[in-house]
Amino acid sequence: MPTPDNWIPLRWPSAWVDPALLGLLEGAPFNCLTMEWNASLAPVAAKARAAGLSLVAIGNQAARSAGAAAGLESPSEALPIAPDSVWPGIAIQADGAEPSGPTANPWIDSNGWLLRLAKARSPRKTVWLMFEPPGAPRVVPLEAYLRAIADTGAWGGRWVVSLDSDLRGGLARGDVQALASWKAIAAAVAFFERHRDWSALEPLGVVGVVSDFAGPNETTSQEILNLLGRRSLAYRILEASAAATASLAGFQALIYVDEGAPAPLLRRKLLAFAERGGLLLAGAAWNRADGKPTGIDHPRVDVRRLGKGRLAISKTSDPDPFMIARDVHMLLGRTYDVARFFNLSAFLSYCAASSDRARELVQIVSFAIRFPNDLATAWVPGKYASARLWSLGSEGPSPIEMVPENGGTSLLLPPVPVYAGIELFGKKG
Amino acid sequence: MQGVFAVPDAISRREALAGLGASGLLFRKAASAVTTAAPVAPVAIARCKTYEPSELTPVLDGMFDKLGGLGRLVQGKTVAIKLNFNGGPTVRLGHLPLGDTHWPHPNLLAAAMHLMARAGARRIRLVEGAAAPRTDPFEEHMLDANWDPRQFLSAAPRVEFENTNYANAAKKFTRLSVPHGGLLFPAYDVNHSYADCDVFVSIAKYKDHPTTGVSTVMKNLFGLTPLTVYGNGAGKWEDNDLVYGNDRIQILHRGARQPAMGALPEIDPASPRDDNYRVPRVIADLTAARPVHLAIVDGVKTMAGSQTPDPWCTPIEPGVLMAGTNVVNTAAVAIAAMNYDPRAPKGTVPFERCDNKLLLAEQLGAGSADPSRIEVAGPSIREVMFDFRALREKRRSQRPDRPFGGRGRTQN
Repeated sequence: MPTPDNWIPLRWPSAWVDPALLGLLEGAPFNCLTMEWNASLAPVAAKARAAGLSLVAIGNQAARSAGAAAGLESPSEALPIAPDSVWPGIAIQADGAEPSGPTANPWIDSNGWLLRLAKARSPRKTVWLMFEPPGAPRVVPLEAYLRAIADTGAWGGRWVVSLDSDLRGGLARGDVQALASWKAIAAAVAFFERHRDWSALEPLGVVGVVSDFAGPNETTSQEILNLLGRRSLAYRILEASAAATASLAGFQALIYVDEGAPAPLLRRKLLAFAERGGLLLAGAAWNRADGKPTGIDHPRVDVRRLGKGRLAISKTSDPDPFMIARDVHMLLGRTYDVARFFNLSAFLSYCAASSDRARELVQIVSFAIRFPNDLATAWVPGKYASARLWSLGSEGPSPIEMVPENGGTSLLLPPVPVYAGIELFGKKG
Repeated sequence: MQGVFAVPDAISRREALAGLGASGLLFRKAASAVTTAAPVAPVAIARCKTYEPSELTPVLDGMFDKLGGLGRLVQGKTVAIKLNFNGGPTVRLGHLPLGDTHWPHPNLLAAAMHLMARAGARRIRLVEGAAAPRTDPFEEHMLDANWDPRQFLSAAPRVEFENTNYANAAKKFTRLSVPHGGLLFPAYDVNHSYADCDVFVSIAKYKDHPTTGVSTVMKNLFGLTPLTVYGNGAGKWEDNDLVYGNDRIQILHRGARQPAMGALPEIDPASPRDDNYRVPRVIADLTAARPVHLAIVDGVKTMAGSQTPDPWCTPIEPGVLMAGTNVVNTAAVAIAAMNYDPRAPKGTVPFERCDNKLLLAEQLGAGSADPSRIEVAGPSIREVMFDFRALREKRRSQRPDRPFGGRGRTQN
């Protein structure tokens, strides 16, 4: 039997009481069924157990108790389940419109930042997400499932795959199209399981977000992570409790906007970072006597010179995370971008590397519903010996044409309707 | 100069301008009379196959020599170069960098700046209305497109960048009045850089355009209009330091409302709310209001089919550069070299749906649109002609409803 850390979960529909439906799992990667227990599932549970599948009770307390009584396991404490996960995609309002900010970019619901934070807190654990597909009248196309799997897998998490009523019904009836969708879903889950080693790579990024990510700071700090990702501004997470003793090597900018003054040790560490040439974007509670005025006319932050670096203090005690993400990017400058992307209108990216930098990974999750068939380009600042592309639905990787551009390398990609995983090898120089 | 702006006595100015969009006969009468009076200046043409500085710089240098030399134009002067950053910085035609398709190539810009600096330009200011917040340094817009601003900073001793969607250090916009009252607006409020310069340069690709037929160094001037005054979100987002959207559809294209921030309203609110009527007039107005001293057409590589990339565009490599000291003349030569008639009336290629902005500008006395009157230095128009017309006809045969591109016509 697989251990909890190796469980690959599927939410078994409560209405699927026919054990014959377990046949769908043949060739699929799922080895763990989560069930909201009712007695009519007993024949399914018995057959699944006999097939070596793990069974986990979910649902409310009563359902979990009933499941436990029937021999189902409880979600282990060793298995973090991230709360507040969302169905990934471009947010749709009740009237069908896509909400967007003043930049006219659509709002993306994603769990990427949530998984990044969970991993920073529990580096050796695989996090489960238990979001559900949208209900009727929304139709859930196959691409939406693949996007949900990619938005979880790219950041090393596991989605407890849950099927909408149309797909559940189609599969129960043996509908050909539903079966094709199911195979594609299973293949996508299997893809990320085969590349589980990717989650051991270290995130790239010169911007650090320092926070306790909790209490009064929870909303702002977590939204900063979300919106840094939306800008494709690669970031790393530093828990405030550990930041005072953490290495700040490789960082060019730090964001610290938690309420109140930082602990003395952390404060000294952050000041030293700026004095050595870094950019520190601090909340309004930061001591305004630090540094010297620069005279820069900025509507949201007071930019001050501090040693060789800069201190940008928020002018408001309730800063807008969207603006913080943008301001730190523009104060720092795109010169430090770890990647740039073209012809991808609504997407998230995640760049990581092995500790020896022999292998780098750029993952793209595309949410675009406009012009998804445009050829895409990813630009990275280095030069590499080779690059290869992994796409969902492909048997194996394909080589990527690399073209020198602006001192780095443009990676010429096919359209990215949902996902691209780019492996780069042999960085030169 | 007065004579240049004169309209023949036989036709009133109102009749002449109205005739451009209505009666072909009146149009021809007015145009033929005025064309003999509109200014002409030589246009230099040169073949250039690549953007390698080793080829580009001497070719450009030779072209400027044929125009009388850069020294007399820029020595000791402040030069403002209007870039042509249309569309978003991260949208490409296929995999091609923007400089190969619809933005002027950065190497061409750097070469021109280098030559200007060598000729004694005191200051070079790169200006464009970038759809980016005021607090975003303009250089960041270039980096977003994967350009390296250091290429320009090292091309000349004193280089500045200005996002002209904002008033910036001047705190207020500068009003450019259109000689003789204007066609659509009597005046346009613009960033101070367009007035605070001794030499004004327009640099742009030549390519097709969905609203105005063709886009070259004249159409580039449409971007003088700041989004904070003439953009879709004008008057709504300034306090938030943001520009809403990146086009001027509501005010300049459709006339759905009047400009913001105290800019003058249009002359005749009852005039057509049709961008085929309005946009050419805005361009002609601006051509007259802000004379261009040097126009550079980048035809080494460009694209046919639209203004900004879409699946219907075709990347092409005509391998040619053009430059002139009169922007209407230069545009006319460039359009003729696309195998289009720069004097074609509305309803004919390349102005199938719109008024001819060159003839409108000619009416305002900004320059002649008649290639037969314009001296060409270097290879002839015929020798460097690239057949945009044939590509246009091919697109039309494939998609009669979308001869100008598959993504609609909403780009400025």
